[in-house]
Amino acid sequence: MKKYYMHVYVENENSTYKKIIEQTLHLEEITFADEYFIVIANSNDIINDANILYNNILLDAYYQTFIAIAGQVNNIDKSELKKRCINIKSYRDKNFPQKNILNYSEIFLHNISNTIEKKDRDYLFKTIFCREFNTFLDDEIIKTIDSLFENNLNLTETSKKIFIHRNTLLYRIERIKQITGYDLRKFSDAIIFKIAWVLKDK
Amino acid sequence: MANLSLKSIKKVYANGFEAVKDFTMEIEDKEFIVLVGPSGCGKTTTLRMIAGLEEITSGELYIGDNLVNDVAPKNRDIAMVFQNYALYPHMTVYDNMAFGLKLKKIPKDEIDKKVKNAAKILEIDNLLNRKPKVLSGGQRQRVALGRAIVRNPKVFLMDEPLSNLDAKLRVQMRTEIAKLHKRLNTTFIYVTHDQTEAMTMGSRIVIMKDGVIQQIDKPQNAYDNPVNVFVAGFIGSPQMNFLEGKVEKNNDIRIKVSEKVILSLPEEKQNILNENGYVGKDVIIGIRPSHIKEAKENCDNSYSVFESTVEVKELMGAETYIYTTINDRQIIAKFKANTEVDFGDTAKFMVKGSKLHIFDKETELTIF
Repeated sequence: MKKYYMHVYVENENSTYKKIIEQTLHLEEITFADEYFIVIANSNDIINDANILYNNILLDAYYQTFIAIAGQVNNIDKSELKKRCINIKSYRDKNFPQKNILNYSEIFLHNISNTIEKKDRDYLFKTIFCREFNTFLDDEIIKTIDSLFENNLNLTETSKKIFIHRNTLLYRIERIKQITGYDLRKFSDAIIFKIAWVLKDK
Repeated sequence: MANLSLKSIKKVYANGFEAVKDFTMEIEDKEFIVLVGPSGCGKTTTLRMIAGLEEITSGELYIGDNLVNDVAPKNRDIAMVFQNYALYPHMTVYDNMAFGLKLKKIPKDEIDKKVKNAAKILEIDNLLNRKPKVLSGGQRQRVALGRAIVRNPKVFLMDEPLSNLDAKLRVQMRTEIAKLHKRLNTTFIYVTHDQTEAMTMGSRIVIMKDGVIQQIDKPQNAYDNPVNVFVAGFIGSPQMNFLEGKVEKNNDIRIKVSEKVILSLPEEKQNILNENGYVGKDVIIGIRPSHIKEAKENCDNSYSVFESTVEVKELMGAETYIYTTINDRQIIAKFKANTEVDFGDTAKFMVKGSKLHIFDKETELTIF
């Protein structure tokens, strides 16, 4: 099991929240600060455990918490981990207020995309967001691309989640490749496309 | 009595995002309602507003005769069941089911009675001393159901409870939940993205897209009479095929998809198109895969026949799915299991005019 640092946001320091956290996670440490519990817990699958914790707090405390996961403790200073969680909460409140659990790695790409030089950004945009692609890009295609990334480029899962046949998904991926030159089934292409995709929202 | 009334319920988040727009519905006591739609359609947000976990931006929610917009979740007499089992890993099944009641300081003997009663209903009375780790997926979900049942709620709210189970178990648990509904005789509101689940479980289904109700109907009617392209494409597996064509009038009214694909219609449908001014206009044609078959010799003139190249042949056992392309659109047809057509062949397809669904191209609403 690996050790993770997270903030569990609650209404107050009610003992019910503490009991639920203690009973759900393999706890190492728990303290209360401001508006959240600082939790260090061991886990084999932190996202799964965070989901269970979220549901248990919902079911037994009738409260919709937010859980910010800074990542593995390893050799990282706790103050750095605390800063990460606060960053995550701020990012979530601004961009995805309906998200209940957010991991640092999910916002990492957004953070580093801010450091890309203008000339590189312009190159990406010219290559990918050409006129033909912008014409092709309707709500269905946007949903397809978002879902592909959310489902780790897994074609079967993606087609299931957005209710299209696998062959239809393949057809769309082929069209994207024909127009932009980027094959979303290839990791090296997908990562560049993802950066452009993130940048297009800015 | 646990009837619910949702009047123009709206949810707008702080950043302006409208998750649910004008949701209005009456739910009768003891109904099994399924909210279904793709990710992000607002179904879980609606469920959460019913539970009191999301503030209602505008509109009114009644449970029974009580306006509950500002009533705290714990006072609404509801219980929730989730996708991720919501179990305490270190506790026994008994303690898992009892924990919520202990937090509410319910007396011990009353807790014992409730837990054992729920365990009996769910047929997990032999598992009360076990921990979640040793239970199967189906058993864990029963324990999660048990945590909800012990609360004796007026309304059960279920948020994709079967999504984490494998396909075979999902089918089995669907039946279990349907049986549970009959046994408990309580209102169930169930959220799923799986249209098959919605069709098999709900007494009525609510199909949602982008925060808007598309159709509220009995499952079979939503399948037979979808109100728009979205519902038509969402309900039914494999998905309905969609083509575009022009309504043309010569001796009679037909729909021209291409030079090779011209679809005829029964007279009453021709009249509808004519009377509503669709002659000369483009329309969207929907055809369920089960209504595109391998053309027989001498099929009668209620069928349209066309040829196209077989691109994919999927043997399903009881039938064969044939994939072809018409006007850059991929089409799926259901042929008999023993069809002799193969990849690369030019096959003959037939479609009965009365089985066509026609939609207005601009509004995407059903014409018929």
